[in-house]
Amino acid sequence: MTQADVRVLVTIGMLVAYGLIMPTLGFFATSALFLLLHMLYLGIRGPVWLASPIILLLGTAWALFERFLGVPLPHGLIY
Amino acid sequence: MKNALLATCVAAAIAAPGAGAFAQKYKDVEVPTTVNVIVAYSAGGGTDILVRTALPYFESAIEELTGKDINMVVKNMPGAGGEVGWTALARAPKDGSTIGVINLPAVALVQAVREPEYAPWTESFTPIGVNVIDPSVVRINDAKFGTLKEAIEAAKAEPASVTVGADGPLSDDHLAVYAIEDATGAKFTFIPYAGGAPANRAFLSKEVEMSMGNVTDLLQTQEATVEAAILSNERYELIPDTPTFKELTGMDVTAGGSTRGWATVSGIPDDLLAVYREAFEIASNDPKYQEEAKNRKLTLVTPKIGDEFGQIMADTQSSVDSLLKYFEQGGYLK
Amino acid sequence: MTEILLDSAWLAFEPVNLLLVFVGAVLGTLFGATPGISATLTIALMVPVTFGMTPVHGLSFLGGAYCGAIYGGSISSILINVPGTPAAVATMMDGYELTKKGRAGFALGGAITASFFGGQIGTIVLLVAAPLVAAAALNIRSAEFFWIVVFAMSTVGAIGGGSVTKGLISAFIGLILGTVGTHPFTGSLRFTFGVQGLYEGFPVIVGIVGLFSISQVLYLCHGKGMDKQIDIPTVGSLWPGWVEIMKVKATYIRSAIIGTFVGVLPGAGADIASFIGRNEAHRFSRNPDEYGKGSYEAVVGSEAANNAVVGGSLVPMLTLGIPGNAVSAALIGGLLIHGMLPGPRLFTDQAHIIYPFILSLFAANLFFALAAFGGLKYLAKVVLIPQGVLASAVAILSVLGAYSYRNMIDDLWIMLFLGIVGYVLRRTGFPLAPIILGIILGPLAETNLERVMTIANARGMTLMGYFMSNTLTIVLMVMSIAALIYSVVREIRHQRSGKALMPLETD
Repeated sequence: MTQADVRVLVTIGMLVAYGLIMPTLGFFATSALFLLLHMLYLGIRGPVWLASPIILLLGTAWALFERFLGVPLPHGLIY
Repeated sequence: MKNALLATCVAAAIAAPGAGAFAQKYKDVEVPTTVNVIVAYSAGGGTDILVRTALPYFESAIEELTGKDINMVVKNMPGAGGEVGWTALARAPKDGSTIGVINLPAVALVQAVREPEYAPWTESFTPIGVNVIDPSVVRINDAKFGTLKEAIEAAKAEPASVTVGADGPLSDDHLAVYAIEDATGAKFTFIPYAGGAPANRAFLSKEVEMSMGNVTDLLQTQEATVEAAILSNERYELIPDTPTFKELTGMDVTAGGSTRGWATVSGIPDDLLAVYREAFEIASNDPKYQEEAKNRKLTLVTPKIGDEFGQIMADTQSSVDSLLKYFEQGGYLK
Repeated sequence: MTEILLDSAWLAFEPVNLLLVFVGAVLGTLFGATPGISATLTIALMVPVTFGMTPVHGLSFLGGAYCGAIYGGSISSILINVPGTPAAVATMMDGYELTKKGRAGFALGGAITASFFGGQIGTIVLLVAAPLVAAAALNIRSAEFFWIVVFAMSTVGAIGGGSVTKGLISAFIGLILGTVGTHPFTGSLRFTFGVQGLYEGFPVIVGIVGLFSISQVLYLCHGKGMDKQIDIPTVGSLWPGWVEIMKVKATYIRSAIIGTFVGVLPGAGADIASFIGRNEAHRFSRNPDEYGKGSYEAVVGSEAANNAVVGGSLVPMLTLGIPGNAVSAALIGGLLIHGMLPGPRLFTDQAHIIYPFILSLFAANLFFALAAFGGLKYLAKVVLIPQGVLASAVAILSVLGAYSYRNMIDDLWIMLFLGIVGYVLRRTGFPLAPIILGIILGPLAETNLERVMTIANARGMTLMGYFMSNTLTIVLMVMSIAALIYSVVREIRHQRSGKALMPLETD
């Protein structure tokens, strides 16, 4: 098994963990956690790269779904 | 909302001393700050529109009765023919923080074909009230028959030779077709379509000779309709020229139509249930609401509150029970 | 008539309405570009937002979102090899090939111009010929529709990658997945294994997110150099140039007509239109060998078709109350909240609302095109971000799309399962597009055939006898069978001659 295959398997594992945790922790917290950990795992180190998907992606999702459309994404312990 | 509330209270107190007494009566009821309203169908659909139209009026009526601020939020939980949403409603905490809309007879039909977690639904859900019932309407086009009676006679003389298209299977329309079969002894070939609109397409294009639907379906296919009858005891105000089935054929056939009522999980505090029921009655009698609802083609009826809706629920279940054998014979319960 | 149109133009093109159309088109484009958020979901989510608007404003806003969402699907197809909507699956094959060659801009420009052109043609037909076309659409009943589905199935050869066998196996997998769920005729459950999320059949949207997006995430994770961008040199200019456009003008026109026609058919939507549009472009192409390797013509072929569906699908919806596809079915909600019942009388009773709405669609097509030309200069740079960032972000976008489809956690598991299946299939050289075609077309073929058999039975006819009793059915039957045979023969001939039409991805 190559290193690349391991990366694929770990990614699958992290997505499974995501599905298990999300109902309790809520969409936004779990997604932020996943993005951060997954990017770190893949070797991304630049703070701008680490922060921008979390802020831009989740920020847009929050604004559009929670505010504009009024269809709340699952909330959990934190939000 | 506090100021508006105060103003309403004052106005109400001046106009009718009784109204002020309500606020007194429910002042001590513990009301959840957020009430989730489960809709077992997707956003933008018929049930969703009904809920979103009523919600502001329902919300302010509760605030008026209890003197507390609340926030009602629609939760669309479509899936598995409504089972997903109703299961969530049945599983909800019994503190009144979750209410929902149950669709009759769909909720009973899902229970008839499989074992949903919410069974028996008449016990799992406690009625708040209902004000939207869309009666069943049967129509024929000019493909083969001149009158509805003729079509029924043909289906009696030669069973399964007459095709009836409708939303289905296992819909309120499907149930209504069996109600006609049961009362008249006719035997139709039921052709299911994935929704009312495709069924109307089949009716317009004369793929089928007959169609079962609701009031709006008739309004949309009036040009192609040779004869139509409403399966209820009296005519309906949106389609005053359409006779009842009995008036037209002499045979007494009624069906529950499509009923969308508000309910909670059973076991919520009695005083809160009383608030919901009374608030629902106030909201559905609000002329402003009624105008808005009528504009959106919601088929309003005189609101049936609490046990009155409970009676409709029981009637629906017994009519499903009595027609169950037709579903069995048709191969629908496997 | 002229008077109505002039009055309507005032309402359609007044500043507030134009602003709403613009906002709708931009939001629609964004939603459409998000994997898993289809045009249908976009409209369903936005209908409640229009509650407080006037009917013209609300409908124009939704119309803008509809046009934008159908177009938007192509953006992610082209840039990140992930279809934003089912209608963009056919665009992906050549769009992403162009991106890999550093010509993303060229592909995007093709999609914008084609979507714009197709959208306007569909709207023109809606405006001038609605009642006429609607009457013709009524001749398409279950029997005719069954054969049209068979015709659409014949496109499988052209999207199957290099190997006919593998393409057919993929299509077969799709057909199997298509049988999952409530039996459309008896209501009994098939192959659902107790998973509630499967009761209403394999959710196509979730399937697409899994098969394409999640498998793409895994694919990206398998690459080297996570902190570096994928090996894509540049994006290139967005404007394809008149020369390129005129070279394939026949494809723009042909696909726009195909899309409009497919849109009118009740039950067939932008997804089917884009497959047929691309396939017919291929059939008539002077450079068929380029298909699958980054053909501009192929991008135009699918994109002009799927946006032409918008106008087409509104024809039966507005005139007969019968939506041409799932998106226009969701749009009925937008009419109902303003008390408008779609049907024959809409054009007379509510002309002052319907005509401004139709006219606003012209503006919608213009706005998403302008916004795309303006905004994609920047957005297209996503192809240049590090692979690792892209992989994580696409994973979360996929979750968002799959989950918001109907707020069910089951869908996350279905998505992940199909993501793994899709990844394995890609690594072993099986094409994914035929699976989607199978999931979409299988249930349509089954339901319509079963319906026809039941009706034939009730009339005391055999199935063949029923098919032969109508001239239009016979014509469509002959056409579909011929197309099916033609596509198989063509593929086999190309295989024999040693040059596969569509080389497999070899990376």
